[in-house]
Order: sequence, then structure tokens, then C-alpha cells
Amino acid sequence: MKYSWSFHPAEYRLTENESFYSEKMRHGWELQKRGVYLSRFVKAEPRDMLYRLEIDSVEPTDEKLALYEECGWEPVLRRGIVNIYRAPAGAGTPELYTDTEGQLRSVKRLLRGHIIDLALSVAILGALGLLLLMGRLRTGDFVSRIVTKTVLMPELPVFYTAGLIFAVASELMAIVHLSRIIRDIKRGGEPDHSPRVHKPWGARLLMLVWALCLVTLVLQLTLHKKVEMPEASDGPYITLSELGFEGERTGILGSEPDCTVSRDWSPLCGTVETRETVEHGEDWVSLDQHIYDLRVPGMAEAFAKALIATSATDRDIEDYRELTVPGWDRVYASYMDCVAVRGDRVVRLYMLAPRGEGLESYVPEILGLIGGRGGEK
Amino acid sequence: MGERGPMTEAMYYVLLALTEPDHGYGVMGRIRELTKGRVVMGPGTLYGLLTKLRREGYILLSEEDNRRKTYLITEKGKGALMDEYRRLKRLVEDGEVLEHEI
Repeated sequence: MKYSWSFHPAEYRLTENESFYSEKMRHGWELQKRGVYLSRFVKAEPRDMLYRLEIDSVEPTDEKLALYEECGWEPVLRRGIVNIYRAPAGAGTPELYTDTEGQLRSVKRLLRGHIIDLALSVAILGALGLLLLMGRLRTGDFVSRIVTKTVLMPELPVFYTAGLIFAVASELMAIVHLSRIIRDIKRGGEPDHSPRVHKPWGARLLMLVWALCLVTLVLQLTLHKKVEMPEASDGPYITLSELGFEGERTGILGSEPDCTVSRDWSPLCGTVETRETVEHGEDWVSLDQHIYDLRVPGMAEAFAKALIATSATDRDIEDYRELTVPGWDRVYASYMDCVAVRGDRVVRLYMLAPRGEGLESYVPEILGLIGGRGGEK
Repeated sequence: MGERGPMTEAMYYVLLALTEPDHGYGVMGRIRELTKGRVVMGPGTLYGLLTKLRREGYILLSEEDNRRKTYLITEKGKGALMDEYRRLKRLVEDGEVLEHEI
């Protein structure tokens, strides 16, 4: 069996769907299945058939189907509230609806559904907006979390935003379109069952964006690499031995050694994250480095602020002191956390320094060593 | 139905056709016959009307055989149909002045 798939017009374009399916049948493609955006066709003998869409939330009864069939209307399929019938063209088959009330019923039902959907989409958008606003009013934490997540996994917000924009836009278009049909029917106009079919660009664009998001996501997941940290640095990061801590590698609080380097790719940045702990006398010294090489210029400052607001230790910019380190544009350091900017590179450091010392005293040396070392873009 | 104002043309003909028991497809044929092909009723329109008229007690189910149901007008339906017939007749009588004017 030979199949083909095509984007069909949106369901609210009732008569455009009818022309669309008739045209397909005329070219030897018989409608077999209707999905949300796509219809499946099977190769068949070309025939001149009329297709009709009927919107009804109630499944047609046997009596109704028998009556339709006796009149020449063969049921093709039902998907959700859409029922599709067809009849041979030119056989004098009477239209399904010959009265204004009946013609209006399908349209009004669709219109009601679209008004509810629009209200829902707007409510979701509104709730999101409110959450963002509340997040900003409180600590800025929520917004910053979105910023950091967006840099690291941009396909997720793109996926959601594209879907929401498409939902609101298509609901609005549906409401305008259906209101016009209702006005025309009430003015006594007969529905035109073979109008020009508009290409469903919106749905195609959404599918393209979603497909790109999916490809990027798969790419990100497959490009993620996590390895045990080599003796000497093989990337933009430094090892604790370069700072003079030559102790045995271990895990935090003396657990199993847990010294790793992970590399991630995202369309907006390349990331290297390290974790290293070494023994230091009776104690431990530990350093985590997150090195982000941003691909979009001018984003570094904002991203650094977002990193501070989502810090695991100090989230208030007041807890940070601004330091001057040669070669670096901005350096903010608190007792355990440091965020620094150099061009499009943003670095975050968490350090458990030897007892009595803060991270701050090591920042100039660490940043001096990292500098512009081998980017991961 | 008198209290609800004029009947739609479709309702009038369905009630008229069901003065004798018939099923949906039969009703369509009978309407076409009665109006000499002037009124052709679509199956969607007819099915919607049959459901509504039955729910409101103007017609009843007189026989059921698998997929086909046979309907018949009720006393209430007959009353409404007669009211509408008389109303239409008065309308035509009133319009007779036109005959003399032309």
C-alpha cells in the first residue's frame, strides 16, 4: 500500500477541508486518517468525490448513519468532534444541511470550543506572567532560573513559547473566521463547499520549529560527556595541583573519589564543568568550576547576574564584593562562590578553601590560570 | 408551536409528511413528492429535526427495526400543524388583495 501524508487546513476552515480532500481524491489519494495537523492518504483510483465535515461531540447513531447512507453519504471517519462523509460528485446527493439552523450548528459548536480554548491559553499565559512577576518581586530567582536554563537548554522555552503563540494566534484566527461564516449564513448565503484552500503555514512552521527543538535536544543529550578528571588539565579548567594542592584526590568529606569533567553543548553556549576534591593535611580542599563560553555576544553580564541569583550558597548580590583581576571584565566573589566575566566567557567557581581561608584569596590566581584557556565553543 | 411563533418551513413539511408513519428516508421522499421537488431536505437537517420534534413531543417512535426508526405525528403535533396551516391560510387570504391590484 502506498501512503502519503499532508498538512490539512485547520478544522475551523470547514469548507476548505472539504475542497482539500476532494482535490486529493481527484489526484488519486484517498483520505484514510486525520490527525491533529496531518492527514494520511492511501493511493487509490482517482475519483470525483464530494467531502463534507460535520462537527458533533456526540457520536452518530446507527439511525443517523443509515439515513446518511440511504441519501448517498458514506461515512469516512470520525476524529474527536469531526465527522467526515463523502458522496460521488454529480449524483444529485442532497447537501447534509439545507436549513440555516443546521448549517449554523457545526459552526457555532466550533466557535464555542475555540472561545474556551482561547480563554484557556490566555489564562495559562497570564498565570505564567504572574509567576514571573512574583518571582521578580521576591528575589529575581525565578527569572534567573529561566535565564540560566535558557542558556543551557534553549530548545525548551522555544518549544513552549512557539506552542503557546501558535495556540493563541490560531484560536483568534478561528474565532474571526467562524464569526464571519455565521454572519454570512445568517444573511442567507449558501456555504461555498469548494473554496480556495489556504496552505496551513502556521502548523507547518510550528512543526518545523518543534522538529528543530527535538533535533537540538537529541544533539545536546548525545553530546554530553562526563569523564574522570585527567591528571593534567585538557581544557579551559585548572586542576588543584596547579594551585599547589598536591594531596590525593578524594571525594567530599572523604567519600569515594569524585573528580570529574563534564562537557555540554548547547546552541547558545559550550560548557565545561569540573569537580575536584583533594586531601589537605587532616582536611579537604574542593573546587568546582563551571566555564561557559557563550556564543551570543553581549549576553555575558546578564548571564553572570543570573548565575549569582541561582547560586547554591550566596544569592544576594550584596554578599559579593567586586574584585579587579587583570584580563577579566567583571569579578564578583563571596565567601564560597565567585562569578567572573571575560568577553563572552563566564566562569563560576565554588571553593571549599583550606580552613580559615575564603575563596576570595584564591580568585586572582585561579582566574589568572583559566584566562582565555582553550574555549569549548 | 403556535405560542412560539411561525414554524420553520422544514418543520412544517416534516410534520406534514409524518401524518402517516414513515422512517427518515421515507420522509425525505414524501416531502419531495408533496412539494413536487421544490423542497429537498438534507439528511443532517432532517435527523436534527426528528430528534428535536420527538424530544418536544410532536412526533413519536412508532416502530424500531435495527437501524431504521419509524415515526408518527402525535396529537400535540397535529394541533401545532393545524395551527400553522390556518395561520398560513390567513396570510394567503390577506394577500389576495394583490390579485386585484395587479
